[in-house]
Amino acid sequence: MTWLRVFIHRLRGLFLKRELEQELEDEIRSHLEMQFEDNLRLGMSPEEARRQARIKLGGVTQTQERYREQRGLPMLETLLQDLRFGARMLKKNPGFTLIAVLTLALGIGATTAIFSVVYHVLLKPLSYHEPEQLVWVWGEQAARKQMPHTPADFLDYQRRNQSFAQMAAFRNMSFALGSAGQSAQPERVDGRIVSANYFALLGVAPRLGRSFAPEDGLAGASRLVLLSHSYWQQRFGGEAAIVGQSLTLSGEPATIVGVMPPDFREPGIALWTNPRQIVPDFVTSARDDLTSVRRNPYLSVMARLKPGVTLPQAQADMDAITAGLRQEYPDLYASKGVRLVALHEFVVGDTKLTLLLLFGAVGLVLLIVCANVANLTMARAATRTKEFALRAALGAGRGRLIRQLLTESVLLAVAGGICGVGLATWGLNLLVALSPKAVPRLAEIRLDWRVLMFALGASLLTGIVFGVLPALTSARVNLNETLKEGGRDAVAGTGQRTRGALVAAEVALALVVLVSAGLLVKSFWRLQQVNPGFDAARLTTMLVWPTEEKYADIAASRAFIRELSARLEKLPGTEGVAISNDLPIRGSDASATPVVEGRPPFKPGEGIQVGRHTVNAAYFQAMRVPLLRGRALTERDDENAPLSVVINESAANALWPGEDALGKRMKLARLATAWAEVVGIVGDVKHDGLHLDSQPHMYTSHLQFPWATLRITVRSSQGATAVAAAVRGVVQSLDPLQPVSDVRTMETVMADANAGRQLSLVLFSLFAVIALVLACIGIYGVTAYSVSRRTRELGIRMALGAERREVSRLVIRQGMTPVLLGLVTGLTAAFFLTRLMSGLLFGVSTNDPLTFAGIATLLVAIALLACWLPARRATEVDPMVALRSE
Amino acid sequence: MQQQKNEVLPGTLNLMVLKTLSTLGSLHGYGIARRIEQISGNALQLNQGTIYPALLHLEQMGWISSKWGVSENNRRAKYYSITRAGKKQLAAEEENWRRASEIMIRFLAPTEENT
Repeated sequence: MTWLRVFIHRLRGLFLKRELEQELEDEIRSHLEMQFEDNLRLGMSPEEARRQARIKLGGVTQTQERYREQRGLPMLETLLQDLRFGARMLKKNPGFTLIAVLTLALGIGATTAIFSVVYHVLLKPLSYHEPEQLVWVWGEQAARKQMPHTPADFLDYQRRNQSFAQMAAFRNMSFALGSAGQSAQPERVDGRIVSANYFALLGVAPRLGRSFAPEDGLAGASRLVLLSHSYWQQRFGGEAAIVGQSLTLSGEPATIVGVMPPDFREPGIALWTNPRQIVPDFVTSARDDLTSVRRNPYLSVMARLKPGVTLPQAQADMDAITAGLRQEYPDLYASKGVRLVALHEFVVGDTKLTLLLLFGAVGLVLLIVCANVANLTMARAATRTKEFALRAALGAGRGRLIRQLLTESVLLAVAGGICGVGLATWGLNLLVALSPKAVPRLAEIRLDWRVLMFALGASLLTGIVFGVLPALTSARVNLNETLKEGGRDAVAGTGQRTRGALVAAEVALALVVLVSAGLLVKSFWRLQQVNPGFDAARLTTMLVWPTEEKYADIAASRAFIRELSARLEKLPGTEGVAISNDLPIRGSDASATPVVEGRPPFKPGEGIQVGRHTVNAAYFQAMRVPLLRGRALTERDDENAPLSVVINESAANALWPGEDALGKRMKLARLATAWAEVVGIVGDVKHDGLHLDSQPHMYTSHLQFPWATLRITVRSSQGATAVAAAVRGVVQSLDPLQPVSDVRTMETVMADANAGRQLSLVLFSLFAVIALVLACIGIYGVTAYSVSRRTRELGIRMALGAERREVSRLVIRQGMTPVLLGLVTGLTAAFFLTRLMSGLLFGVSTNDPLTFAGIATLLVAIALLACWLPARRATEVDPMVALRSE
Repeated sequence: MQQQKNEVLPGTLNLMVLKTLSTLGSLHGYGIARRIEQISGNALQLNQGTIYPALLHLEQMGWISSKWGVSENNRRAKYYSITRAGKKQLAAEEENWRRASEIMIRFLAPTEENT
């Protein structure tokens, strides 16, 4: 324990420096005086006594110095000295310091912010208990993937499987949430009806109250509600006493039993409610009979694997179950199947490719940062050859010199790191703000400290390696020669080549990132050019969902819609009112396989899939969907008239290839009985998404096929808020308890559909800009450095009659050589690498010549600028000054 | 021949200080230095200043302790005294030195005869 004691003692010495110094002084003074008095006693004169006392004591300064060494921690003090000196050196070279810190900060900040997004969206395990055991159970039917299941399927799977510890089913549903006993306007919220074991399966416990017990899933159980944390905060102000309170759920009394924890989020879901009895509760309408329980798929299913069971084993088990069902119900299950997907994969879904590419971009940018830092520190070490030779000549040990350089590198990395952390925090907030809300798990994104450490470590290591290596070599250099030469060319030869290679690498890396970003920008631009098939200008859309119990009577529902459209059309500024069951761009709520008159019947899963929409008579005119042939639907296509259908061009071509579809008849679904006449053909609307080819779609009158959802879309010269208020007024004048929700402009709807694309575009562009800036810094740094080293040579050239233009051309040529080399390498690399992102592109080839050429030109132009600045400075050198330099 | 003054052998100063303090009890730096000079019969060239870093080292090791006090002629001075750990250390070092010097004397004896 002696060392500890000594250490504490010394540490005390470090902090009580002044007091201890004073104490030593006192001690020495008393020493001298005692000696002085003794000397006097020996008969010396006072002067002689004083002199002898001093001689006897020896050098006071040396004593103090040795005392100090013994007292404090010399290592630490040297370090502090190195730090002070390093800081002074960095301050003396503000250009170098600024560039190095900026490079590090940009690199560390950007990579950390973006990696944090990547990690939290893509890599981080789900916040469920043992998430790797969770699987999503998809249904498949013929060519159709990702289908839901029928309640009967679910019950069969649950009973027959050997692989799952549990299986849970759920369906999303919109509810009118009202306070019990009050006549206030209910609120429309999205909820999820879940089987009673849903939370047990996920392994998530509520934060307040309880979750559902098995008996809550039985027939006759009362309606119970679990609230999401955010909805609890928003609507109930985080009131803990809410548990046990009653409310109404679409008119039905319900009790709040709990609140979920804040990290349990399901996108858009405000509440969960129990099924009471799995089949009946999942069946929405009285029209569904038992057959339709086996026929009508609407359940999503999740399952938890038994411990030790692998996904392929479970898949084989499910395949066997569906094979069994196929034998029992040959007609229904002929082409049905089940596909298991790991839940994690399902949640991440389409963003995976984007995020992996971004990850690649992070790596590239970090490489550029490292190349830049390496370049800067190497250049700097080279300019300091003389300084180091001098210090070595004055007796500094090699270890001491290297320690000095290390200290400076660390200082630089720490400064860059601090700025980087700031930039990362700010950048992350920016990224989250810029990210479309549709990106999964956005709310979970936090700054990732491990990446920060990684980026910091990588930059630090680069700084150290490339800062110390030249120091090692220069320490070995012949001191005499170096000092005589003025340290000019000691390391320049090989250094120049290495720096050129680093610049070439930087340019190549930046080019790859820039080309990727360019392709994404072009895709996005192309996407904006796509004709959606309707005119989105000045459209405001909102959702009205007449509460089920009130409008269960079809006649009441029809009357409500008739009156509603009549009143809406009279609103000031209204150019048209479209009522439909769904919105374009976002896919169809329903689809069917129609049977064309005169063609043989087909098996389930075969036939042509046609998206199905229920619209009002004014729909095409209001949305400005062009009517190509025939007529639009009218008010006369009502419940008393024969069925009429309007189809789009794609449907006409698909169902009646080479024939005129107008006037032909079809059954709207495989099992439908009534014939519908094609009365009109309209232009294709991008129902399934702007980036997809147009699919077949058909439109029927909402008078003939009433739908629970009313999407009201108004084209009006008034602004969106005014329109929403007016529509709300109209709806409430008809039914004061009827909520209006999801008010948005059509432009927002279209932007949201491009959310993922927009995110990758933003991230990639950010990266591209950072890569470009960093590459510029690199090019500029190297050229400027080489110019400053060649001041004398350039001066001689000019003194000997070289034109300014020639000198500047010489500098630029030398600066651009590695750039062009990097350009060629980068273009080649990009040519192959962009193939990886073909899934993200739209309307542009992965090797789009225009993008490649444009990016190359941009890079060359900026590189020229980065070389021209130092070149101009070179020509402004006064030959006489240059010759005298150093 | 003029009597040559010897430098203090490395490591011996500590031992001398400890021995002095163990013999004389509490003493200030000047007293310690004087005592060492006297004992060596003034044959030792002691830079008196060097005693202070040595005292600091011994104190850090916990072998001596220090306290400010007043000298016989009313002067403020720092008094050092040996601790128990110091006594133990002294005994060990004394033994070491005795053995080492015996070896050296035996080793050097024949050489002296030859000259």
